[in-house]
Parts: sequence; structure tokens; C-alpha cells
Amino acid sequence: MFNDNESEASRRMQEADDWELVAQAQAGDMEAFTALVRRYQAPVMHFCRRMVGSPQDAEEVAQECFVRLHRHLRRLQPRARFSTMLFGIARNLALNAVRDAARRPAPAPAEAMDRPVADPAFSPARRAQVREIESALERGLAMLSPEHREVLLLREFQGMDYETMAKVLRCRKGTVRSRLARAREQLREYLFVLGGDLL
Amino acid sequence: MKNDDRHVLDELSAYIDGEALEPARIARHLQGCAECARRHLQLLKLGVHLRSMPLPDVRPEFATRVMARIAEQEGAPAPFWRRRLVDAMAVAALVALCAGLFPLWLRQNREAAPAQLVATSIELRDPAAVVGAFVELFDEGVDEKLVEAALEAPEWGHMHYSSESIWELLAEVRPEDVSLGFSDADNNLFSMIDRLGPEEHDVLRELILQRFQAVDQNETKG
Repeated sequence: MFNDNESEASRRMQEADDWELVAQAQAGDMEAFTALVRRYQAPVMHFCRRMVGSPQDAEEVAQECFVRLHRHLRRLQPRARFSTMLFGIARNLALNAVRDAARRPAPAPAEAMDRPVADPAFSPARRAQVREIESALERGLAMLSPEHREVLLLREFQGMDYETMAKVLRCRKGTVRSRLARAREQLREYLFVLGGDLL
Repeated sequence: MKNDDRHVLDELSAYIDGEALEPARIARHLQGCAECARRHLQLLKLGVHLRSMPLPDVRPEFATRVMARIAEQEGAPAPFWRRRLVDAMAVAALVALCAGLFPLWLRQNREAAPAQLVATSIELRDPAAVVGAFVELFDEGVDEKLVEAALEAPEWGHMHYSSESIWELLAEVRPEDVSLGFSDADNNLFSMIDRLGPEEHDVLRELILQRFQAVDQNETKG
């Protein structure tokens, strides 16, 4: 991925490598496509999980994202970042899943992630505080509208810059800027209401 | 009030991302404004907390399941509704689109364009390019009831689109992928279309995009 800590040269190398794998997959090399899946399964799964909420729905959406990618493999051309295109697919599918979930009688409550949530080296009190913050953030993220949630996820977890996000979300850079500011403010206010010491 | 005295609360989000329009002014303001500095710190902490959240586990068999689904779908025939719809809608839509847009564009851009043009036949030189766009349309979340309705009345204006991406996809349909026949005395029209240059292709794509946006807005109002 292309977070802030990665050098531009490194990002470009990975990008070239992604498209090389795409070219190999287009030539029928399924191992190359599998390598792409393995490379991006964690970030895509993470994005879907936070967007959709339910672990089962998120895995379904994430898998479908790669299936969809393969279906359009023949048409893919290296005109944009591979990850931009991939997250564009993931975003469309996730929004559909969110809409489907909204039609169901009872929306799934925010569920804790599967891994330990606090460094075992922390004191019990500190671990409890970290768990409290993470739980509040889970609920706060779920409270955001999908449009605000997705922009926050792409920025904070995928490290995308505004221009890349604008391409993924098919909106203007200014829209990214305002949505992100609004998302952060809503989340900040939510945590502040829960307890001023959370931030 | 000096420019640096203006509060920057609304600009802090972009500032911490390195995307602020006036980062130097914001930095100066933060040095002298406790309220904005406090909010700045809160947003920084919020980012740290967010990025510290645990990542979801990806099951080891994730990639295997993806590849199994791909293999399964490659071996299965396309759903019947998609086959029927692709056949019906691709032709209907392109006839409507080309009949509606090409004469308009030609009238606007060529003085000698005929007054009345009616598309009477259509041939797809690259059906896969067009069909691919429609397949993607239905994968983007069109309601199945609307799909059924479209099967009953495969007309352009009867479709709803839940994703704006379809506009872009259909805008990718290149004129050179389509051959048109017109019941017009001007036999040169066909060759005129063939002679469209890259810039004219871009104009066509823009027209198509506007057309679909207008259709969508009308559907939304309706």
C-alpha cells in the first residue's frame, strides 16, 4: 500500500510489480492472480470489515471484489494505480452491502475484531483504557454515514492521499477534503461525549 | 483581525494530512491559539487511536476460496436473465444512444449534416466491449425487480442505475466499436463517423456521459 511512511520509489516499484502480475494473469497465469489476491487481501478485507460491519458479510464482499477483478481482467490497463482501481471495486461492493444490510430488520451491532486489542505489556488499567477507546471507535465508525466512513478508512488505514481517494470515490478532491473533516469531527465529538479523557 | 488570527478549526483535518492549502498560516496560528491547538492535538490523537485499532484476521483459506469461486463461475453459464438482458439492452441502448446523440452532435458540428437521421441497423464490431459494460452494470447492484421490468420493456428510459460508474463505463464504448446504418440519402454519413478523430471521440464520450446523467436525474425525479 502507499502509506505516508513508504517512499515514493518503493510505492512505484510495487505499482509496477502489481501491473506485472496483472499482465501475467492476463496471459493466463493464475498463480500471478493468486499472488495479487494474497498481496491485497488484508487491506481489502480490513476496508470491507469496517465498512460493512458483519465479519461474514465483509468476507463475502472482499472475496467478491477479487472475483470481480478477475472477471474484468481482460479489460484492465495500467492507466491508474492498481490499488486505486481495486479499492474502487471494493467500495462499490461495500456500499451495496451496506444498503442491503439497511433493509434487514436488525442491523448487526459493531463487533470486536478477532485479535487481541491491547499490548500485553500494558498495565491492566491501560489495557482497559485501550479497549474502551477501541470499542468507542468501533461504535463511532459504525455511526458515521457510509460516505464519511469510507473516506476516513481510506485515509487512516490505507494511507491514501486526497487525489487518490478522489479517484477511488469518483468525486472531487474538495469533496474528499470536506467529507474527511466532517468525519473526523463527528468521531471526535462522539468520543468527547463518551468521555473527555478518551482524547 | 490579522490573517493569522483567523481560527483554523475547519482546516485542521487537511493540515494533519499534509493537504492544507495554507499550511504555514495554520502552523503560525496554532502557536498562538490554545483552542485550535487543543483541537489539533485531539485530531492527532484520534488518528493515532484509529491506526492502532486491531486489523481483522484474514482466514488462511481466503485466496483459495476466491480462486475456487472464480473457477466455479468460469465453468458456469451466465445467468439466463443476464444473457437475455445483455442481448436486448445492448442493442436497444446503442440504437437509442447513437440515434439520439450522433445526429445532435453532427448538427452542432457539421453544417452539411442531414436534417433527419434514423438509425435502422446496428452492428457491434467488438460486442465484448459493449456487453462487458452491461454485465458490469448488473453487477453494480441494479435491483432485480428492475431487471425483470426491463426484460418486459427493454427500453433505455425504463432502467434505473444505482451506481454512477455505469455512466463512465458506457462512455467507454468507442464509436469505432459500432457500425451504424442510417436511412438517409447522405451515404457519406457512415464514412464521416468513421473519420471521427480522437478529439471528436472525446466529444462523443462527453455527450454520452451527459446523456446518462440526464436520464438518471429524470428517473430520480420520477
